[in-house]
Amino acid sequence: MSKKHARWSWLFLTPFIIGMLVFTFYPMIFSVYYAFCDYNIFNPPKWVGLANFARLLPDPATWKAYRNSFAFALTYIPVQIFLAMIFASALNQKLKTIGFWRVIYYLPSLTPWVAVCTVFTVLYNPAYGPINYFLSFFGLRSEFIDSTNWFVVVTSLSAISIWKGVGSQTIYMLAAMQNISSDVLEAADIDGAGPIAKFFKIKMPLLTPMIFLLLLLSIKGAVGVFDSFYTMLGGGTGVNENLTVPGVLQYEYEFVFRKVGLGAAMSWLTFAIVGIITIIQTKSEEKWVHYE
Amino acid sequence: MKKALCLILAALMLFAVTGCNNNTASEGTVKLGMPSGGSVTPQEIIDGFVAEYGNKYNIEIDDTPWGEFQTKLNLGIASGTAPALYLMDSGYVADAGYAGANEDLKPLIDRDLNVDDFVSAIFSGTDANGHIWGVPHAMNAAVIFYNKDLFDKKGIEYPKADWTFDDMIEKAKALTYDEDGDGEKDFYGLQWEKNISVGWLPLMLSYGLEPVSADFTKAQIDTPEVKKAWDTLIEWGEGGLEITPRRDFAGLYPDWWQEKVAMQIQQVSFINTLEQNAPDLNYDVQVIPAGPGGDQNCVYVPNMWAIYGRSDQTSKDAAWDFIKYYYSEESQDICAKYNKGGFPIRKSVYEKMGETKPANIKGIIQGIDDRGHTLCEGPGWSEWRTIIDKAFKDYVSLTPTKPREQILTETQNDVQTVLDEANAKKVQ
Repeated sequence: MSKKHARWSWLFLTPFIIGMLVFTFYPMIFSVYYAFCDYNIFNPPKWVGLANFARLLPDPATWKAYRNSFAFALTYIPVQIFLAMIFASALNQKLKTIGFWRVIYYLPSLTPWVAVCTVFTVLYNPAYGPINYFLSFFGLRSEFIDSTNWFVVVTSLSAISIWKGVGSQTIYMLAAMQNISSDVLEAADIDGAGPIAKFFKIKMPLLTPMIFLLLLLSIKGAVGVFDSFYTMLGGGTGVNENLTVPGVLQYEYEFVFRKVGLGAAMSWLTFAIVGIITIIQTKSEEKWVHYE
Repeated sequence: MKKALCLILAALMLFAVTGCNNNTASEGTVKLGMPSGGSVTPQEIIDGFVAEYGNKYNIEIDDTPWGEFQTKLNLGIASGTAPALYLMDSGYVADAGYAGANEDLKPLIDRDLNVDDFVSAIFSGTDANGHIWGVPHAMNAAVIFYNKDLFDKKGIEYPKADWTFDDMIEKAKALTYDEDGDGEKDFYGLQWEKNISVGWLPLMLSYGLEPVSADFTKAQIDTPEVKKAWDTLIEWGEGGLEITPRRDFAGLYPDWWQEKVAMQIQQVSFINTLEQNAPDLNYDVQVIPAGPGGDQNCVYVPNMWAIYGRSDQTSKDAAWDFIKYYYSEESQDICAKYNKGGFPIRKSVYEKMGETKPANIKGIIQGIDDRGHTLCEGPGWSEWRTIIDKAFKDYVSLTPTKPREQILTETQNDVQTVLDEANAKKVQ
């Protein structure tokens, strides 16, 4: 790159660099500091060393929160990516109405979380919810988010996230699918490969870079889940310890109890856990991700 | 040309990044925080104050929406840029006072207000040491809304001010029935809630016990009174009486205004919701009945006007002038007209009040004045209140996560820990 181009590049990058420094790195650095402080917002932070971590680590609520977010991730991520692949395959056709269908699949992604949660609260209602009404025809019934089994509650909420998020993941997957060279597929045709063999033996391996990217992004989203748990399980009176997630705990510590230090410590604990998972994912990349 | 265009684009991007909202009032400007503006505080009052005091102070109104305002207020207090006056969630007033963020209003009240002109709620921001960290914006009391048509249909007498829990249950039983004979109940007598203001606190007070001691040093949860109070709600639901329609006691208010439930506990600000959703409903309100031990309460939420203690003197003067203006007879009459967030606190409003809808507003005001009770706001309130919220929700659920006795014991310990911690930090 010429010096002139480099100068212009820096000029255009400056606003974003300033934004990153002020709105991302500055709060990040201070949140490290706050994680070691007792800080109630009203008074200056007071250094307490590892006290916040010492309080969080033995607290059953902390580990229940991580248990729930991992259960959420395990039920949400694989299903969402699998469905995104199916939908992307369906939308990767030469149909006249394809634009319409793509919009339909993407629409849930645009719906605000609060609206989604309100609608699903009614749909999931054990007494008069339409889902149970439908299930009753098959002799089935579920308590969904009213269940006493935490796993049922968590999977009920992950189903909502799947419904809401699958559209945007489908768009990513569709882009990756359209990037697959037609030569490869034509060669497979000549070799007599059927549609199923082509999907699993040609398309799937070539989609693994995108699946890998979606996995990285989804794990961050799953561990940071907040809206559905807070809106549907909180109801203004806080989320039960058995059903909480790290994002909700962090919110309560920082904004309800004004224990900013505890909230910051929680966020760095989450950061460490997500970091470890991401490192493991990255290490495993070369074993299953195929670049064309 | 290309170079100029690039420079303009770069400048615009920089402008976009740095063009953030400045929370600090410009020099000489007095910033007054009126969350949600005219929808919480009548616009006529805000405009009237600006018109009257605009020459004395350079006033800037911050009308950020309520929820966002409270977050912004925290940040403003932390950074020393909070407005001189703000409307604060009542639960945070005590903590903000102890931390030195709120000005003690007692000397100003003693100097400028004739407290006999106001209902006793004017002192609801007073702490155990006599400091007054805020004064009420309005009184949003918990009351029983009852549907007169449903009462008339079954020939049942309307609730009276001196009624008891037994009366309420008797009425609720008679008003719970299956009309079409399909084996399913079509009408229910009573709907109660789970949260603090219209749920567990009025219930506990009716059984004669506060959740924490008056000096905010001792938790009072693991007690026979609290157990009895909380068991009552289970009994009203699926624990035997089945007079309430909601298995989880989560309020779906439409049940009430769609005339499926005869009585519903709610805050008086619910009147505004009814005006919008069911303007023709034939209803009235009554105070919460006396509990089994004869204790009767009128729990109210007094969100508070508070003055930022770290403001300059001119700003503090302007803030106090606004509070005096808001409490003037003229402004309080306007408050009564619009009923924003509850009832006004100046007595004269009620002395000249004519016919109202609902009819018994005067009765409720009398109830607040006689036995009004705040949400027990004090040190650590937001934390211990959330602990009790969660415990209560678990306790009254059909299948609690642990034995109910254990919920009470654990809640007692957790609340005590919060109180000990909060009291240790309290600035006397």
